[in-house]
Amino acid sequence: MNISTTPAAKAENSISSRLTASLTALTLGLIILFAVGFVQGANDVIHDAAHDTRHTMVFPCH
Amino acid sequence: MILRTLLIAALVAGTLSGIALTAIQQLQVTPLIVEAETYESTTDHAHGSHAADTSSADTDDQRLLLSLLSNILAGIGFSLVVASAITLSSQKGWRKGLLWGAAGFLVFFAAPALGLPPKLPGTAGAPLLDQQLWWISTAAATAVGIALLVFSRPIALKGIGIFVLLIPHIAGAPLPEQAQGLAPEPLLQQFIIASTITNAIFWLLLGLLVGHFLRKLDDTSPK
Repeated sequence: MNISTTPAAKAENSISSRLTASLTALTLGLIILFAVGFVQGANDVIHDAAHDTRHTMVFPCH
Repeated sequence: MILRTLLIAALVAGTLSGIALTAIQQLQVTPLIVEAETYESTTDHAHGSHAADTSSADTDDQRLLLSLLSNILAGIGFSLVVASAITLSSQKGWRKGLLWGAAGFLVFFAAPALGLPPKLPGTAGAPLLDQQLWWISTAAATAVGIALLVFSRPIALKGIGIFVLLIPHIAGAPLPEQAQGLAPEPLLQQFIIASTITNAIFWLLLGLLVGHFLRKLDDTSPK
């Protein structure tokens, strides 16, 4: 008795789960990138750690 | 299931491209950054922690390790963004992945670099927050512009796409009051070329790997 077994329901289910998964991954990715590329951190600790990455990838560094 | 596939593909592709980036960076880019730091005076605020003393092997090892770590994180972050775009548009496989990698290069490197070119340590810049806001707006506008240009059918929408692409550059990047760097011009030119090549390789590899692993995992995962 699975209600999502008709092809139409399956397709709809797949589109919405694809959307949810994509948006989740996108959000997670942007959070990671914000940390690597933009956060300075107390005493510039994150800036210093990611320093060469920021210079190489044209994240504004200072 | 889809999210798991996305996360695994991004994790593997991001880690591999982050490692590759580190290797190219060590050969092409880091030596130029280190050389530029020798021009920074010790009173300069920016990079006291490693500008003053990069000669000891310990500091070099630590610097390499931290760069590897942040490169891998950047790789995973960018891979997540690309994996989500590929999944939304249902364009898996390494060939399509290469195109997505090229788009990533334009969005996250080329377009921001047009206004805020790669900088060596010791180069003057506008206030950091202004630069960061312009960088983020430019990347966002470029992503929207390319998407409209590539995916929309009506010619009017494509026209709007081109306009959106141009907005950040018409508005202009925040510039320093006086554009002056401590490092000599030839070193800066060399750095711009080296970082452009490095990013191009990084992005094409990243796109290729994300596209490949998304398809591979999709084929093997139980439906």
